[in-house]
Amino acid sequence: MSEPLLKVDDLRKVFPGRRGHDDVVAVDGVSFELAPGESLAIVGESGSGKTTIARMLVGLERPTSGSIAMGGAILDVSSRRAKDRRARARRLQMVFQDPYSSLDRLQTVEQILSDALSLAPDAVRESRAEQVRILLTSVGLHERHSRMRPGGLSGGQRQRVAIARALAVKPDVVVLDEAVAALDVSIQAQVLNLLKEIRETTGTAYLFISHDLAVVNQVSDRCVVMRQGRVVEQGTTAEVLHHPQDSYTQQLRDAVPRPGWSPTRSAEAPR
Amino acid sequence: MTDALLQVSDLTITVPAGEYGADRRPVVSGVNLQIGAGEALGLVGESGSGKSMTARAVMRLFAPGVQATGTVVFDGCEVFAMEDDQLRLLRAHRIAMIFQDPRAHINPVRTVGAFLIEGLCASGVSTRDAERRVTSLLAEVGISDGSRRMAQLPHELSGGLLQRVMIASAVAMDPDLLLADEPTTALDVTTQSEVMAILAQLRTERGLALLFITHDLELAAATCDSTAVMYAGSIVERQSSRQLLTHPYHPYSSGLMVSRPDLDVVRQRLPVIEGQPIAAFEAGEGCAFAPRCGYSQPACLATTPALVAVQGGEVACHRASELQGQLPTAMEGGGDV
Repeated sequence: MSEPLLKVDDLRKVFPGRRGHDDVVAVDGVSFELAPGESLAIVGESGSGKTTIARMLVGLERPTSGSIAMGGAILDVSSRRAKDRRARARRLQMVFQDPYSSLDRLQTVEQILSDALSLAPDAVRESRAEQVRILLTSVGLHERHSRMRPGGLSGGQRQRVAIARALAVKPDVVVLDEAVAALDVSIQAQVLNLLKEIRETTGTAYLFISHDLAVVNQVSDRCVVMRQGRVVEQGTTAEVLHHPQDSYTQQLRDAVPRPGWSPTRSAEAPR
Repeated sequence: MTDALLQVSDLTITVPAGEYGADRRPVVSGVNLQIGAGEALGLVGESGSGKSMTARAVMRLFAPGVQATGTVVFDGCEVFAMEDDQLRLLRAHRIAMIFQDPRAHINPVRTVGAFLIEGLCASGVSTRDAERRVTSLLAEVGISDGSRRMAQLPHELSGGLLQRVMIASAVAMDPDLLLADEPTTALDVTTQSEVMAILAQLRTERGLALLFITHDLELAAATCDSTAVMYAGSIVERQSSRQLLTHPYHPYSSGLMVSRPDLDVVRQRLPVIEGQPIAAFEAGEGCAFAPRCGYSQPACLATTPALVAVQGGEVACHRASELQGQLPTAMEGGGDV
């Protein structure tokens, strides 16, 4: 097996408890690897720690302990130095769930993408405007969208802009945190197809964070199932979804509505 | 049909466009639906389809400036013609509503208990009796430590627990109809499953009728007797949930089903509905769905199809009879049924 692109080892995040409450262990000893060009899903419900992992990867949270290595070198994710942050941003980008809050509503699409392109490592022959056009085309948008602001775009179009922004620096890994969860059903399918196409043409690896097992089945090669900060199961997506080893994975699977499904109440009292 | 509990006929809702509201934009146009006592109807649509506005119209819950025409008849009474005190009784005792975000609909600085007993106390029940009834209601919705929960504030409860509290409050006055507007959308799948099971149990035990609004066609079809699909402010198809899953009449219903990723089948590309959903006022001439429809013909763009009766339901599509039995469904490709 080739050198992993991303190696997360025994990652732990503890948030101090407020006003006499106990500390919250959000992520508790999580390890996984991501190979170049691979799509790995992190699946779990609210409170499982999946978003905290994403935030630690892109430097929005500092890990309590454990390490994150990229291409064999330990990545100092907690460094606030501009140089380190820029180096990290060139390799690792993030797409958030809500494009309403993750795009600057005062900037035009062209400004949003230009800013991201200015981080790109090497000089390119095309003009900035040409690069913006290429980016927009790659996410299925049109040149005319470049003069619009996020407020003038639909939810699906906004998410395409967020994806284009992440791709601008040609990163090795894109972390997608519930990136299709807020989209309408018909738009969700379009964006999932787009993500698949981008991976096939650019070889970008995905860390796909989702609560939706059906979506995960469609986009990921392998998946990690998390519950309350710990990994309960990991393996190829087909294995995990079709032959779950852990009862929690089975429970998640059983809860997905589908033809012939009926809702069930678990015997245990809610917390 | 006079025996339906709820009969909505030719409902059209417009909102003011622009700052001064001189122009009006339709958001719901010509909706007909009915629900019998104890029946569950799923109302499925994407953003802007008008599903929430339709539900709010049933209780005449409109923001200022919103106008509605048509009729809503609940148990023989015309809701749009009601006097204020009649309307208050309708909202307090006959119809209840729950929403996607329970936190936005409960006072954050009062205890859960105060919120729950308010309605009962207002109708003359003593505080002590109200508390006793509410505790048993909470047990019904799966909260066994009711008395402890009642002393807590809303922020101390998880989203799933708070939605149960909302359901308990909704059924406290023993209504005949529950309007549920995306009640599980913000919840985890396992919690969604529990909340849907609770609603199903309340329906059978209390004979409660349900209008269940969701963007998830499969969820509606799995939990409701019949399902209606809305697009651009109109109902495009309604039939029994069972039959909808296997024999959709409208290309949009079929498109919604097949574009959802499947738990068991991985597709190279998901079949998509091109373009994006529109609201009623954005619809052009002819069938509102035609510009996105893979089966559209010139005739589709010329005239708007009416909702007509077909075997086992209703559909608004010019090509429904030709396409019958040919539209792909979620069942294809080996879902475990």
